[in-house]
Amino acid sequence: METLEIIRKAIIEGQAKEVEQHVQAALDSGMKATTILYDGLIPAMAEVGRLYEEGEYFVPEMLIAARAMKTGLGLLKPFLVEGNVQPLGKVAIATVQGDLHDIGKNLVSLMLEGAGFEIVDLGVNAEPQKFVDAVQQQQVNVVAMSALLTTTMTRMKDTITALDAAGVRGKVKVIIGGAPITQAYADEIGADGYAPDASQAVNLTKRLLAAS
Amino acid sequence: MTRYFEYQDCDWARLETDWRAWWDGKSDRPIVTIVTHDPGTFPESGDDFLTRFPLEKPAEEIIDYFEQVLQRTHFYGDACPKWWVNFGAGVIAAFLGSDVEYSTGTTWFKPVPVESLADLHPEYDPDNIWWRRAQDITQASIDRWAGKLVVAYTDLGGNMDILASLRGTQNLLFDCIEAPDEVIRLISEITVLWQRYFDELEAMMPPQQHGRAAWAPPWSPTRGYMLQSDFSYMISPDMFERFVLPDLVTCCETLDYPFYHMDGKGQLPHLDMLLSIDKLRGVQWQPGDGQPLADHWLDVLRKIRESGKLCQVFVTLDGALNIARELGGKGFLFDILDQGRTITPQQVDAFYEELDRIGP
Repeated sequence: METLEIIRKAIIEGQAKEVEQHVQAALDSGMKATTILYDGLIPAMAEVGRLYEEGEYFVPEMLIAARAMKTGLGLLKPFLVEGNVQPLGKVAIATVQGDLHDIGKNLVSLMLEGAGFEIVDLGVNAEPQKFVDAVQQQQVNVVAMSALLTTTMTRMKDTITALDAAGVRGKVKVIIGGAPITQAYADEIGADGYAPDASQAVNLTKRLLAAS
Repeated sequence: MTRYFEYQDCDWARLETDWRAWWDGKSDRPIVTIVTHDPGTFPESGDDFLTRFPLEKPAEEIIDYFEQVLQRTHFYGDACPKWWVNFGAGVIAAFLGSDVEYSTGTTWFKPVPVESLADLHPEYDPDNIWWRRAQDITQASIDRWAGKLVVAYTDLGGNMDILASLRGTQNLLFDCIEAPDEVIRLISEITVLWQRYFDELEAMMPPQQHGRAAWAPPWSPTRGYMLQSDFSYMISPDMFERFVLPDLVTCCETLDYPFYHMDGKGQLPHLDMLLSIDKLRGVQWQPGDGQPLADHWLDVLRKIRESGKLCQVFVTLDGALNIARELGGKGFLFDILDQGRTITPQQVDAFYEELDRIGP
C-alpha cells in the first residue's frame, strides 16, 4: 500500500499514532508537505464526511478521525508555513453567548481544518464583541456560530447586528448551525448560510468563499 | 375546577381510573393533558429552575414562591395537578460532584476534572450539597402539598447523560472508542446509584399522595419514570446496544411504569431496540428543536403504536386532532403546547368536541 493511502486509511480509522508515524516517514522520505496535505489528509477527511452523511459513521468515529488528522496536520504545519502555503480561508468559530454545547462547533472546526481552512477557535459562550474583535484583529473572512438551544440561538442575530455596527459585516461570510437552526432562520437573521452538519459546513464555506 | 386546590376526591378518582385504563390498554380514547398559566406567572426568563435560587434561601420560601405560581396554573383534561422539583436534566451529576451553573433557560453540570475515565469513581455522598437540597425541597413541597398535588421526582437524568456530564461529552465520545470497558463499568456503577437515588426519593413520597409523576406528562399509579439517553443522539446503533440498552433494561425492571424520552431524529436508528424492551411501557417522541412538531412524524408514531407501546407527544390542539384522525387516538398521550399562553377554555371545549367526533 503506498504511503498516502496508508495515511488516508489511518485517518479514516482514527489511528492517530499511525498517522503520526507515516506522515513523519513521508516527510523524512522527501515527500512535499503539500502533497501529504492535498492527497492524504484532505481526501481522507472528505471520505470521513461522506461516511457520516451516509450514516456509516457517527459522531465518535468522526471525532476520532478528525483528531488523527490533526496529529498529521501538526507535523505538516511548519513546512506549510515555511512554504507560505495559504489556507482556503480563515474561520472564526464559537458557540454563541449563553451556550456551552461545543461538540458541533468542535466537529465543524475539525472538518474545516481538515479541508484546508485556518481556524480561530473562540471557544464557547462567545459574546458578539468577541466575533467582532476576531474580524478586526485577525482578518478572518468567515464567522461560524453554533447554538444548541432555542434560548441561545437569538444571540446569532445579536452577533450579526454587532458585526454590522462595527462596520465589518461586509468583510465576512456568516454561517450558522446547531440543532434548532434552519435555513429559514439563517435567512431571517441575515446569515449567509446554514449547514445541518459538519460535513456540509465545509461545502457551504467553500461555496460562499468561491462566490465572493 | 382547574387549579390544584379545587381538586376533590372524586376528581382524583376520575384521573386515576382514566389513567389506569390508558396504561392497561383498556381505554379507546387518548389521554390529553393541558396545563396553562395566567399571563405574567413566570419571571421574564420564563423558567423555573431551582438552581436559580441561592442555596441559603430556605426551602419553605421557595415553596412559597411556587405556591403563587400554582395559584395561576390551570390543569385541564387528564392533567394531574403536580409540582416538579426541577434542578435541571440529570441532576445526579451534581449529586456525584459536578459543579452546577445556572444560566437563563438552562442548568449546566460541569465535568469533574480527571485525567482519564479510569480515575472516575462516582460514589453516593449523603452530604452532597445538591442531594441535600433536592431532598430538602422535595420534603418542603410534600409538607405543603401532600395529597393536594403530586410532587414530581426531580429529573435524575439518563445514565449515559450523567456520565457525559461528569466526564465531559466530547471526552466520553472518545472514551466510547478508546476505553469501552471503562465506559461500561461506569454506566453500571451509575445505574446502581440511579436506583438508589430514585428509591430514596420514592421513599419520601407520602401515603396520601395520588400516584407518581416526573418532569414529563405521564402520571402513574405507582413507580413511574421517563428514562432517557440524549447522548444516544450521537452514537451508532452498535454503541447504543453496547452502552445504553443493558442499563436501560435494568432501569425498566425496577419501575412499574417506565417510559423513554426519545429526543431528536438522531435517536431514530435506535427505535427498534427501544421497542424490543419488554418492560418499557411507552415512548415519548420529541423531534427536537428546529424540527416540525410530532404530528409531522406519523411514520414514527405509527411504528411506536404498532409495537404495542404507548406514545406521548407534545403537540398543538390541531396537531393532536391530526394524529387522532390519521392514526386513531388510542394509546396516545397528547400534551398540548401552550407556548404563547393563549389557549382559552372555549378552545379546549371545542377541541374535546372534535376529538369525540373523530372517535377512537
